[in-house]
Amino acid sequence: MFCPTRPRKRQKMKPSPQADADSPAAGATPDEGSRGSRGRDRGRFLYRTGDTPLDGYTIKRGVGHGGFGEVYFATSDAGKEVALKLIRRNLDVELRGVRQCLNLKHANLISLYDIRTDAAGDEWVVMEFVAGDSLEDAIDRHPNGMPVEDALAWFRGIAAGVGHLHRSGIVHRDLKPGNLFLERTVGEAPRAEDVRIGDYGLSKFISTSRRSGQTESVGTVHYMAPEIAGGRYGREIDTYALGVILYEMLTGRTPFEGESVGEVLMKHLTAEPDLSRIGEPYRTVIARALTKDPEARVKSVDEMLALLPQPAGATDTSAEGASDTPVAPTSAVWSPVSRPPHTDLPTPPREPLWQGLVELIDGARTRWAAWQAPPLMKGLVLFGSVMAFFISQAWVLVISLLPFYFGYYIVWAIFFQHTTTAPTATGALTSQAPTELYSSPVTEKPNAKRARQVEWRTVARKQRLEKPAKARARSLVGSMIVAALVASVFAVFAAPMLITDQSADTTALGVWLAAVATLGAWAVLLINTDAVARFEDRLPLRGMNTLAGVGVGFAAFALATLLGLELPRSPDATIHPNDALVRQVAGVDLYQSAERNGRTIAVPAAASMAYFAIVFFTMRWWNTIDVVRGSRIGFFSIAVIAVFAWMLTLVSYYPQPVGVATIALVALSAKAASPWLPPTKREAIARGETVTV
Amino acid sequence: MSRLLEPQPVAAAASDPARIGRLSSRLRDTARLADPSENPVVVDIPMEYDARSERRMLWIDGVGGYLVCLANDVTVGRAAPASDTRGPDIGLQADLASRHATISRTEGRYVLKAHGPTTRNDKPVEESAVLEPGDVIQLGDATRLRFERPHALSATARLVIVSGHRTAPMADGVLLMGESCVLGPQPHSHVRCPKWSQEVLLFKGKAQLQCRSGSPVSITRPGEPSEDTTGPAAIPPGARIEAEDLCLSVEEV
Repeated sequence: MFCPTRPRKRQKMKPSPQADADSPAAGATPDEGSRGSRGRDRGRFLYRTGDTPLDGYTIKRGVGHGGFGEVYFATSDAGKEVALKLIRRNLDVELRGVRQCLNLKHANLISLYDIRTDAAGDEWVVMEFVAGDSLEDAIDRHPNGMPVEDALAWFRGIAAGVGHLHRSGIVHRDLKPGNLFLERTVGEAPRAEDVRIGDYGLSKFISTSRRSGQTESVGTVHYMAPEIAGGRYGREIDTYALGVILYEMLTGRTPFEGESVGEVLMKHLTAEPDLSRIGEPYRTVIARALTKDPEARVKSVDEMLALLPQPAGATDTSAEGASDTPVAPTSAVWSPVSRPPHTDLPTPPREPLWQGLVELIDGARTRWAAWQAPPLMKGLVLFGSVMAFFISQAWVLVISLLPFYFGYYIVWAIFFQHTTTAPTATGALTSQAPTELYSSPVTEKPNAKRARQVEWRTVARKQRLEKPAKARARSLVGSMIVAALVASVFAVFAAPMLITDQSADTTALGVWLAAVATLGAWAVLLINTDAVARFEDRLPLRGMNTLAGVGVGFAAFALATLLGLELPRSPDATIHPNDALVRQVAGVDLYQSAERNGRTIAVPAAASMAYFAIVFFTMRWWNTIDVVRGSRIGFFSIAVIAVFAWMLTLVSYYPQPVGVATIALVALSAKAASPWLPPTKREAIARGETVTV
Repeated sequence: MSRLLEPQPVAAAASDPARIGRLSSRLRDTARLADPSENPVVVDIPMEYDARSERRMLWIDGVGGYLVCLANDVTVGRAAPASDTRGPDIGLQADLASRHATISRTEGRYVLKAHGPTTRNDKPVEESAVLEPGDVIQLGDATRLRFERPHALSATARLVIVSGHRTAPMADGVLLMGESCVLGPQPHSHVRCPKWSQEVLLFKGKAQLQCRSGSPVSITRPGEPSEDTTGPAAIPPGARIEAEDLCLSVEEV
């Protein structure tokens, strides 16, 4: 027991004072009378090392406090090591259950040797001593859930023992991690055959007494099935408890937590467990075990076992079958890994400043609520501070900070949101776990890889489509705002570089570039967001994109006219308008009436519309801004678009390098603004978990 | 140990002359402990001891039973029947020679001497090898022990029986005690007692084990009334240390 035991994360509720009555036996400590909640869970025991309350047994040390008395480690005169359980509320009724179980034999049940009465009239149960840890200790060592193999080994052992009890007509009624032990295997993975179930037989009394309010330990409400409230104690309450225990082993916490006994009980009765952190097939097992209606619950322990992955050997065959059934690949391809199956999903990190503000306000609210002051005074203080806030014009400061924060937030959302992982230990775990998780089936079956990759992409796109229209609209509007900002910022930098004529109006060019790029990006976003999943056929998409291109081209022309802008052109950047292919081959002169001088050109509407329409028709914009594209920005794909835009000039003339810059800016801002699925989420989807895309 | 060496309750002590006295005496002891040359309290265990008599069993309520070996040289081997006095210091119920290996402490280092087939970190030990914290010693075919030094300032080591073999008498852990060992809630304690609110320091005093603690504990020796003290106090076999949240007994093995 050198194990480092961490403080429990789970809420331990305050035990009600023990109704400690009777008979200070020989060797009682002086403060025996005041024992109660204080003595519980601490170091004090009634008997000491060397005491012999029971003839033939020498007490070595106290082990722990059960729900009904103390447990000691003792040796018999011949050296047999036993656990002695002192039952201090002595009733024949209580011991009837133990007598019934006295001769049960199963590898996973703690053996009961005898029931003895000491000189003071107290009853003792003599039983097998298990040297190892309890499941409670094991769970404490893994606050985020224990490795799957460990949990399975524990669960198989527990289930085998409970199954034997059920077949013997006994319901345990008090299954909880504190009652489950592992025979010592220091530093090694637990094995199912080493698991021991304790406290059976005694539990009938304990469960009923708990309801009647005489309970000493109420920690076990975490494992209590809802029908217990109605006085129903079938074997279904054991399967319910097994579900809770499996949940706790995999996640490190119980499914229903609360501040008080009542709150936890109420959740058992009404709340649905949060199973989102648990992967298949565990999710199904737990969901079926935690069903509120005992009739609908999983029928037997054996049924639960059958739903779980079989012990080593059987896993391979189930993986083989998976390649034919791509419908549920994650559950079928599952193979044991040394990590919890759920691994906390990375919740999208919240913006740190906002998070800080929220925490500040939360703290202030708590302190405000805890402040013991008359309501009138509280009201006056509140009124005064609100007035002061407005009179002192502090609100102006707050308002004026907002635009800055907005700009900061956009930059943060684009560039930092998905690069900063949550600063918790689980974050580190998540980043490693997935690769191992889905690389293992790949090495086994090389042909499975493609199927799975396509699969997660489809899932991700489908999930985007399944979002409510309102959420999608919100996301689209957000993207458009970001696109406008990105386009404007880059236009400001690009405009001076594009100027070829000293007399040209840089500001007008910047405005034009920003506006056209924004319009272009908006068109791309409006038409092509989630288009891969929405349209089976690409032709209508191309058609819409072409129309949008015509629109953008016209807008570009109109804006240039409005601003009195002639687009700068660099003769070195491309050919002369007259050499363009449409003029040379088809004889169509789009620049017939255009005013040309050496350095600038007023692009006519037809030329502008043709240029943008062809670019929008040819480029596959839906891939450019696909939610599962390789990288968010992807400069290579922007370069491809830019090269095409330049080559197009050879066919249908447009002044360069302004034309290329505009198109590249459209692609850049659309990419920067459109939603993108970060790799962590891809892995989560590949593992079959639900992820908000 | 660190907590005991730092006089934490200074503020409280300032208001209580009796505590100031205790505190200063404790500090004096600490200073002495730090300098072994002028330290009359800590004596080496005489070499001509009966190996089996220099062991203690610590029974700690709610934590476990720990075998504490006080000698500088500790033999490890197959457990002998209880009546046989020639058994090893650390007897294991395992397929081993009766004296399979010896672990010796010299100047704060531990040396493993092999009498039977022994490996250290899977490398055979020909005659002897110096042990480093974290080493895994394998005796015979299947018995594996991990050697740990939890506390940086203490020479005390502990052996964890990784292979799960039982010791005789059955113990949850084995300590090879140097000058002192720490029982308490911190991770660096030699015996981790998670629910304790203070540390208890055991150290080798004049001819017997003594103890010291952060706040007063009640010590009951066999045949004597109990005494509330922060130590140093002798804890002969049969003594019991109790406080609000801790309780342990010392037993001769």
